[in-house]
Amino acid sequence: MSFFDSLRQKAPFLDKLADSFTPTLTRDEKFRLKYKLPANENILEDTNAEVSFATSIKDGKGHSDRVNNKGRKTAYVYSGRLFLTPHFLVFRDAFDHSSCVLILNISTIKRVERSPSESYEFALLVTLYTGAKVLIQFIGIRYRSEQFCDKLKLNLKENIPNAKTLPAFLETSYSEFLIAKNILGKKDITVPRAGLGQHFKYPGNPTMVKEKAKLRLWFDYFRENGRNLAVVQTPMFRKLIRIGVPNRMRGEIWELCSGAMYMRYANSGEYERILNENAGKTSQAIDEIEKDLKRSLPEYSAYQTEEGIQRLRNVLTAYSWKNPDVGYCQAMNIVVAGFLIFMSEEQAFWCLCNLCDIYVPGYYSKTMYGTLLDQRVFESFVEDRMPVLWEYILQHDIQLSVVSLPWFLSLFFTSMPLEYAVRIMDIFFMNGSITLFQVALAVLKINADDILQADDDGMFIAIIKHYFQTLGQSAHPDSSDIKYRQITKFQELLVTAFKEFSVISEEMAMHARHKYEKGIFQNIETFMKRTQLRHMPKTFNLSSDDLSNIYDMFYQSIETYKISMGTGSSNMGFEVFIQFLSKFCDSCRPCEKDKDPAFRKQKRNFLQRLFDNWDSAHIGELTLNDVVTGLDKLVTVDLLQAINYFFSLYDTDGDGELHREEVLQLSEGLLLLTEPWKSGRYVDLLTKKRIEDDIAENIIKESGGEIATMNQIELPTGVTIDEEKYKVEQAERYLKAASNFLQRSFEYAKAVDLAEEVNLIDLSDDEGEEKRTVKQKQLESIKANAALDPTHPKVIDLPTFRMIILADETYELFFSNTLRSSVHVDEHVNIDNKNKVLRSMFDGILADGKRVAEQVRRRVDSVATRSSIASVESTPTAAASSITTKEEKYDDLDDFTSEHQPENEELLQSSWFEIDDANETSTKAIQERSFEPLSANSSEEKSNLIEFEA
Amino acid sequence: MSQRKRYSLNVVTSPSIPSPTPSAPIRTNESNWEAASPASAASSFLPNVHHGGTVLNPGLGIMRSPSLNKSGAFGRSGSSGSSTVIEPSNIKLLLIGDANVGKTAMILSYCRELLTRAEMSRSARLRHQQQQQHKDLGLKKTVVNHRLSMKEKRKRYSSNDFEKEFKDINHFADETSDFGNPNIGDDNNHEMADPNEIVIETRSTIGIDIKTNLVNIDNRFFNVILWDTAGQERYQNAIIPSLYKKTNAVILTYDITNAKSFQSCMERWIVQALENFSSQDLLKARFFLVGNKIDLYKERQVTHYDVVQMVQEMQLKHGIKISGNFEVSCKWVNVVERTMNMIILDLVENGCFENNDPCVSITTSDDVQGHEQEFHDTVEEPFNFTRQRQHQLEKNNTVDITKPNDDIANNQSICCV
Repeated sequence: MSFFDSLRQKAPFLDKLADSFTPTLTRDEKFRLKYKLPANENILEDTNAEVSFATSIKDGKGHSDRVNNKGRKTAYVYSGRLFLTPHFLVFRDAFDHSSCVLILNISTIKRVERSPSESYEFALLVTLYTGAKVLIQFIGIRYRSEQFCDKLKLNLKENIPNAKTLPAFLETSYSEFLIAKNILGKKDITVPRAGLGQHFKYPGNPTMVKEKAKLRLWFDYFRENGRNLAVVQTPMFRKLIRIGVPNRMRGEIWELCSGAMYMRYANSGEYERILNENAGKTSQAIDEIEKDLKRSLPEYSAYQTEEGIQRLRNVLTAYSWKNPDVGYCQAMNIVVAGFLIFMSEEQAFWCLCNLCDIYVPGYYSKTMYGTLLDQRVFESFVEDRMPVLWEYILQHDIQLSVVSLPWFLSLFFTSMPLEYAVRIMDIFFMNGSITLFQVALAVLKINADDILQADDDGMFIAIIKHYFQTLGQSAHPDSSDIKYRQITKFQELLVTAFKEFSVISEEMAMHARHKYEKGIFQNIETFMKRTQLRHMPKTFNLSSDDLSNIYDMFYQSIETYKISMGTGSSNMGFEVFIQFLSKFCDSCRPCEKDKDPAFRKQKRNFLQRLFDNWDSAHIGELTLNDVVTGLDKLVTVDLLQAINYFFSLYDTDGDGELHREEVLQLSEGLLLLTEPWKSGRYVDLLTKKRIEDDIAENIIKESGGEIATMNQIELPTGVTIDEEKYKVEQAERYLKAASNFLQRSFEYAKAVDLAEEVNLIDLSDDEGEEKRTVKQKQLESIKANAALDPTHPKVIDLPTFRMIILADETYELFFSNTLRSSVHVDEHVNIDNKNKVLRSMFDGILADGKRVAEQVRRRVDSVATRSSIASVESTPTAAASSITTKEEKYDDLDDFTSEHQPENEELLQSSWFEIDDANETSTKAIQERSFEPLSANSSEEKSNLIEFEA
Repeated sequence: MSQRKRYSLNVVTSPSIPSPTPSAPIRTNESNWEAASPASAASSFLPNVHHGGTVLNPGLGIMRSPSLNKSGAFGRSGSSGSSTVIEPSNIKLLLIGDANVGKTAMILSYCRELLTRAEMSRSARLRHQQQQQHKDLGLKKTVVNHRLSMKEKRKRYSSNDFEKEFKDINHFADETSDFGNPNIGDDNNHEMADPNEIVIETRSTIGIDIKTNLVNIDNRFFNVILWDTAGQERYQNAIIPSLYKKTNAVILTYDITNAKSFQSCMERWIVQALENFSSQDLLKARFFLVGNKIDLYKERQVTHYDVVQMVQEMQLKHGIKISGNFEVSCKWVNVVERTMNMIILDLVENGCFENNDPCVSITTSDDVQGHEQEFHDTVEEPFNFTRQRQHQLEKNNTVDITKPNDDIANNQSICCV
């Protein structure tokens, strides 16, 4: 007992600790989230390894510079950690986890060989479908390496069916088309189907953004580092994204960075299946989608044609069926319209799925909790990073969310011109949702001087709008330096966002989100409660406080539904209904008689009847409105209404009459409802009145002839005895009432239906029960015999039923007062307090356990922390001075300039490229011939060869 | 005598002008007046001379004519120099209603930022010509090409949607670049359609959007701040906290071809507004009911009887009096503008605006009194006309604008109520 007492005392403190505790993900969840893998991937095995890459394609011998450069790259070796999942082989380097990241789909592996190595005990040579080779050299004990290889071998066998679908999948890849056209020399190959931009032109001017030069750079990267399902991500990969992805490649890069490519490969045919299964169906989401189709990106010409509208309709409709918890939210149409310019329908669909699940969870939910939470986080960032501006915003009562809400919801598609919004999206898919915060902060910082002169929301909005409309203009038009004059406002925005605000990290955002999550959720729940209470049906017997209590109990009972997130079903099933009523209805509370199976069955039957009566839509579930309407009838103050309602519960066919079977069931229902008073757990008004009368009589008697002392002694004894006596009397009265009810039912039913004669085969069970009733009342045997006549069935209509109920004082009182008093809709607060205390205790226990687990995990991760110290030191300092900013701008300018000249040179030499291609083809043929004898020899010599061809 | 054209006093709120002064609008109006065509300039100048010293337009109390404004300012400074307007007052109009009823289009129509098909086609053609010139000049020196690229770059990126002023032809040329090169077939298709038809191409409103317009009413300047809201239901929790603060008028918007949007005005939007108004703001707020899309009269689902019924029901249930109910169409020229002007005039007459002038500290009733005196001092007849019109407005409680009476009005369709 002392342990629980101390726990109870500590409950408030433990509750506070639970608030400050940050939630953690499991190792597999972190792994999936970081590399955007599908949900069914988990780490089967991981080990330390060194990895190097070799491409199958080499340049001609005529260019010694490139050969030397490539030779150096080929020899480069990365040291890090290798992970194996059911469908992927993932490698990341140990330095900063971003110098070399390989996410390899096992289906792309063509062959795995054990490779002889002098410096390592165990090494593998993996050959991909493209001909590239990955050399994996294991570090550590040989046993673990062998174990890893065994599991890899097993996975290779299991992925045979997937590998067969690889060629069809690769046909949708533009990078594959690019390689096939320029290296393999296939002239008859067709361009894979892509977004609407193929026909309606991509936004922006191709010459202005150096489309061809960028395409060449990406081509070189893919040739050296692999592509689509087998790409190696290096710092060069990220640099090319920052420079700008060419429009033709944009869809594939977005798909690759977001993990939608893995989802599409793992769920082939899912998109078409969803559309086919739900064709022709309607829902509220589809109605809303139809309203917004022509209002997505009206300035893009494709969305004024039926083709563009149909693609948009398909993707949004498919997603609303796949994720009914979200359905459709305005702003999704704008984002998907942006996707479809660069992506096919299926690509856009999976990209939208990963966007809603991974990048911006909760943004488009029914309550938009993710958006509200990120607005709050953004405001806290503004407060921390730009205190002067934040002070000004507070002083002038400007609503920051008026401006920033569209930025976050539509990912800048509605704010910026389209060609700049897609550049932001390139970096968004690479870095995650922190990109939104960084760009938003940069916009405010760049316009801070102008904003500090605005005095209301309208001026504030106008300043930001003007800035977005002039992004293409020079940021320093008056500068004497020509380089500064060439810098556009958009480039300045990118520099400010991703250099100055690079300190905004995913961990920082996660921490801030958790900090404000509770407040946001409470606001959402309060708003939802107020909204739903406003839309309640009219009630005559329930006050607003009662409605509030019912609302709280309703959603407490439904544990699967989360108000703040808007997920789960908001309807109540029958099992939950039983628990719900047992909280406040005396007749439905658990009691000792529940041990009796027969009684439990009767109870369930009655509650099922009540449940079906309240289910207005006949869907097997109750909505909040159904519950409120039903309770309103149950607690009516009108005696006749209560009797009518009880009658209608058993009049299932609605003809206004009850047959013999229904009368018997009704009698059982009455017995069930009056059980608490029969067993003596509660006392009704009649018993109370009788007790008072008896006490008064006793007092009179005693005062008649005894002294005061004797009176005091006698009274307690009398009360004690009378209590037991009165309970017995009450029980007898209710039993007698039930018996009289049956007797009167059949007595009065006879008079009504004398004219009707229907042949009826009487059941022996019914006859037996009726005979038992006769035995109890032998004096009435003659009348009862008349009721038992099988050739004359009896029915009871509503007036007769009402008369029978009113004839008995006990039942009249029950329907007029006792039943209504037994439904305690106004006592919820106490129950809630108890639950809250218990929840605090359990939360405290959980928090305690979590803290211990966190400490253990922290110690386990100490080894990893040492390796990350180097990366922490190499991170640029948060406080960047103005001089540093200038230097960074200058560096960025050099970055563009240095890229410009090689691009020009390459463009000038493009005509020579085809000749080089011919030479490469012949060289490759020679290589293939010389390669075969080596493989044959190695297969003969090595008995432990692991060879597996797709 | 033809009716004088009125130009929108749409002052661009650029960062260089954080707070507009009384002199700045006058200068802007002069430039707008100069930008007008010579014919309209001559026609607008002649009646002024004809009327001699008459300052006010006998037709309407709201004037946005630069020349009249100039004369009015001069006359005002001559007659009474004691009360000089330093800052314009604020009028906040809040448009709420279901999604897709046309709230954004109404605001753009009021600010005259909706294009006709002919204007759009002309912009596309200009864009095509500029591209052709660019190709020809590409053969010249690199420096010249670079300069042209910069110039073209600046023009192209100045705007990317339809919220810019339509008078700036260069902006139109730039914003239609995404439409691609119009070929001969496209031109023919455009010519087949009605060139004067207004094209409504708005996008879904995400959250809240604010547009500001400066209006001159009898030599007083008012900042009309129009708040556009998202209509989808799940947005309400995201935008409500900032919505109803200091609101002077709530415009309940519905679509006459969608009875459901009309029903939700009473069942959802009015209830939500009453819940979120503070008791102090509610005293100064007025409610208006506006039905949109009367150009689709063949698909009408909301009748005048329904409107009258709802107005009475709102009075009974919520104690709210609808100050006016209108029906408009963004496809017809000037219809939305006239309706908005009536609403703004009603607000000004009832003192439902926020006075930003710190020097003049007067109560609402005093301001109305002064307003009345101004009317009396200048011209007696327009004041009587205004009073008579207000009386008529209260009597009918319905203003049906089924047929626009502008010179350029589209008379091809007749609406039967």
